[in-house]
Amino acid sequence: MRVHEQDFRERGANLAAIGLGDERYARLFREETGIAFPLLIDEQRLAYRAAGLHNANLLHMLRTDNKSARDRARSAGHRQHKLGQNPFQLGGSFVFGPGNVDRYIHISRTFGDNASMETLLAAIKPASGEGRA
Amino acid sequence: MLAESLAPIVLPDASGQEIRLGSLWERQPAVVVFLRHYG
Repeated sequence: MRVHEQDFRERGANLAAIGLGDERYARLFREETGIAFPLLIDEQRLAYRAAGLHNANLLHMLRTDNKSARDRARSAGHRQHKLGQNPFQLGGSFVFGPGNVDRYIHISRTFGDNASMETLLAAIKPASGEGRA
Repeated sequence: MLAESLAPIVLPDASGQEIRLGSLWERQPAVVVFLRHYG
């Protein structure tokens, strides 16, 4: 996500990440990764619950698609940071707006099930185009 | 609409500043990623 930050900005989009850690944890993560976009803290899981995000379980760790996702992440140079308060919490990716409009929704079904950056970038394009018409 | 349900939620950022989620996509599109963990 941080690699594509400029691409999102060029398309006129805001960018934000939401995590479950506390403030100290979020600060450390920002320092380590150098991200410039907001990293929001949802310790009470208010937004996670409202977004309908799922929880995994131990069986998910044995799935072959998870092994493939781990291998892909390692080859791309990503490394595992400290886990948040709930290691089984799954994530999701969304493109909203302008206004309360759902443009794209991806709710992870298991570890490593993430929307591609290309898909997210493509979901922004219609909004940028509308603004120029 | 999910955007509508999430919009009123207010969360702090890493520096303690509170951000209303809806303000992110009020006037422009926003990409919001919920992390499984910080990493």
